[in-house]
Amino acid sequence: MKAKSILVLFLNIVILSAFVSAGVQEEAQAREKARRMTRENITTLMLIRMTRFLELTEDQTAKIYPFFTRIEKEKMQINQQLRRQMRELRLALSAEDPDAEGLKATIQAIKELRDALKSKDTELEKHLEKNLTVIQQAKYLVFVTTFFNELRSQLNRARMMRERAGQKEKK
Amino acid sequence: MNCTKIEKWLSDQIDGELSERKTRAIEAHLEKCASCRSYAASLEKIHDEATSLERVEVSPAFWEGFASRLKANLESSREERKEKRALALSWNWVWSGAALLAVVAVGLYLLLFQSPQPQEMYVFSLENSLASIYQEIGDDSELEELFNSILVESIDEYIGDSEWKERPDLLENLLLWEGLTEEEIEFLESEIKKDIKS
Amino acid sequence: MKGNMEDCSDGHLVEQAKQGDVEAFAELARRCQEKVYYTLLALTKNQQDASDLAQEAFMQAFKSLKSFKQRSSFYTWIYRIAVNLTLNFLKRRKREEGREVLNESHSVNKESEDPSFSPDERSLKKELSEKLQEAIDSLSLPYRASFTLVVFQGMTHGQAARILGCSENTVSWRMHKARKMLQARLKPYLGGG
Repeated sequence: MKAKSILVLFLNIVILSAFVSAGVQEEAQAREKARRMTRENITTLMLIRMTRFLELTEDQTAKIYPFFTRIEKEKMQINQQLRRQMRELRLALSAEDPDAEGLKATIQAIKELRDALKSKDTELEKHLEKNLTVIQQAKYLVFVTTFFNELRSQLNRARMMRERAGQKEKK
Repeated sequence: MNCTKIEKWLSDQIDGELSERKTRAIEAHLEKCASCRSYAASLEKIHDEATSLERVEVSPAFWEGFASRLKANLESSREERKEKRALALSWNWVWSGAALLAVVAVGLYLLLFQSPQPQEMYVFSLENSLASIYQEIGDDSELEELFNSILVESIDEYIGDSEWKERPDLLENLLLWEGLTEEEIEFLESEIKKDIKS
Repeated sequence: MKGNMEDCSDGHLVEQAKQGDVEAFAELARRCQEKVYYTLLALTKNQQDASDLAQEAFMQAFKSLKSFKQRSSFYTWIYRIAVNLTLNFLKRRKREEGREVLNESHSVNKESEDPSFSPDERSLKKELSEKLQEAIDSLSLPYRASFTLVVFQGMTHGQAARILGCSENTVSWRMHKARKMLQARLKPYLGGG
């Protein structure tokens, strides 16, 4: 009797954790999707604003947009791999006796991915160098700084909107 | 609750892409807003009309002709394939686009050749800037959703600008380039590079 | 032989087609030719162009079968080739002609002859139909492409996004803008209802 109830309990835990991990996995996938959308929106807005700020010609957009899009897609893939490696790293560290060799390999992988990201940014900059006039290059530097500062204020705006909505509900 | 957002949500609703939470929000808003009610009714009417637009049916003879034409081409292509690489052929349709871009690229190269040498650029990391934004958002999915709606509104504003209406090519470039795969984009770029070098 | 082909599953046909089996590929094409054709027709507004482009799309697909890794369904893949082929064709032609591809004599709208409408209602409905078709034809390419796939082919935003090679967000946003433009243009014909 006791053995049977323990077995039932054990099975329930297994089933429950399968649901939870499926749920966790679903949640992780939803987060990935949301993150992807955020990134796409940011880069779309960046391209639009950059076109206007730098006064890009049709020829320049024909050269810059596809390159930008490609680099973006490649960076997104690298970021995905990076997140996976970081998860593995955390998991490995949480073990009672972390495997040093395994950790070493993961660390190396993460460093390589980080360097890959850096080189993508450099590749993009070189491409812009080739296709922008000097004045446009200077404008680009100014633009990028301003753009991300504005993004932060949009984020603050989103926070305030939520606070206001929350306050309204309380009333 | 602003009406611009509601209008976007109404469009998503017609396509069955709206969450329950947002559906409830729309219903609440529509009770109070006559303008959005009217807009919703218009969208429904347009959708009903569009889905019942009759298409010109083609005769079975047309399909027979289509299928036999295709089969004949497939057979002769299979013969050709023995001599050429399949992947090279599949880029045929990209060639014309590449040819046009090549003409543009040569023109631009000539222009660049006459302008002063570009200065060395300070490497500014886009990834780091993006990462800092994500750090601020963290795991807050609600915040991220709100942030996204603000971004989409900004995009909307810019696209609605008269400047873009006068340069529809810019918008098309931005959105249509997304329609190409990585390989296609790479191919086009390599064609452009070749022309810049030559 | 033909009977055998008709009973085969899509996956099986794809495997055979990848080995160069023309019959297998022809059967796959037959299964989706109508959908592909009508989508391209909605984009090009020209029966000859739609037919030629559909042919070309199937040919390109056959030639690139080696690179089809079956991560998506065969139809999504074919659709993607066909739609992108068409969009680039139209874009190129627009550059060459220097003007928007106009819908002239190839309207695909049929008159509504539902007898349950009164003569006045019938002509109003007919007018809305015609004006709607015109309005859809006048949408610029990115919007018309999304609208065609989502409304006429009944795809979800995600499915359309995979075919157009853009984000789901972009499709949602394009649908919203397309509808706004249609609504603005069709206001006088929408009546009081």
